[in-house]
Amino acid sequence: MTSTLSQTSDLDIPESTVSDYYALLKPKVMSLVIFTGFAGMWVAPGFDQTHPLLAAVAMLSLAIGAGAAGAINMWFDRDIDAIMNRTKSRPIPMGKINPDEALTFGIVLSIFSVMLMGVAMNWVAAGILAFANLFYVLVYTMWLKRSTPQNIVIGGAAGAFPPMIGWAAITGDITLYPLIMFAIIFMWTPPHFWALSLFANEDYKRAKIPMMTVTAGAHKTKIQMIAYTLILLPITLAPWALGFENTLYGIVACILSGLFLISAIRVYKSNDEETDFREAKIMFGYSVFYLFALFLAIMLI
Amino acid sequence: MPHSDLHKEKRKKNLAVLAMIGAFIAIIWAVTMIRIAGAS
Repeated sequence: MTSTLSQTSDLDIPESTVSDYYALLKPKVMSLVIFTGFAGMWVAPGFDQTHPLLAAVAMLSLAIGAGAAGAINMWFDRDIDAIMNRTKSRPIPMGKINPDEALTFGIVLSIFSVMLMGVAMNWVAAGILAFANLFYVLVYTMWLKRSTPQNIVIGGAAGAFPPMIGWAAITGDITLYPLIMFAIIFMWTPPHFWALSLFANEDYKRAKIPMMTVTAGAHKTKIQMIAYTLILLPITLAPWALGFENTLYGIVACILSGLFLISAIRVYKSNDEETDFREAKIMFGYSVFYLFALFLAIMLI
Repeated sequence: MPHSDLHKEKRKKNLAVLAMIGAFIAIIWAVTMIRIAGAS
């Protein structure tokens, strides 16, 4: 027995900690998913009659589901994560977590999150959660990411599902308002990601990921960023125009989206690498604030 | 059962897994109780 154990100890077992597994869940992405999912839940009719613990379990399911998809994404992308500066310190390329363990962890949590959502809330929300996870893993991660510059345009849909899931968790169906919230995140994703890829372009080139900045160049990407932020503006005003939100929301959305458009124009106007990086970083930071602020306005105003 | 170095190394992780299983049981129990009580 002792000899067996000592032999096992000699094996190359990664020194993984609980925090490594937590990092596998992409906590920053998860926070955005939880927030937008909660916003969808908050504005859904009947939220105030929902048991608080059930609402909390729904949020937990959403968070775990998003984290699980992130873990499977890290398992699949471990080869390119090791090449890119931005991702090389993730647990798998660092050798802290065995890839097979990461995949198992992701699959188990994914199934668990869908089951929990179904049991606690309803199977419509659970079905959308399952679809969003499969879309992120199969369509975005395994298919689009390495094959087309439209990767984050189409793949961005996966990140747009949380408000729909939150809404469906309360009502059991999907109506126009959650579709508008979906559209807001869907149109927000390309300029958000392209701002990132402008200052991480060398990373993407090295990893041979066909981001728009790599295949079409910075100039064309910047034009696309302006186009998407322009289209985004009226979509963010739709909740007010259709009577779901009041005028104050319309004003706030107009200001926030206007500033987002200005940041895209500033990125377009920057013409040397130093200002390019600076403006792209400013836009990326603002894009995160923008989405939080916009959904906060949807919830509170 | 003798405790090897491997047991010590994995202690924190195993306790975390135990806590997760415990939390899972607690959540399912709580959800079931609320559902039985008829809350939406």
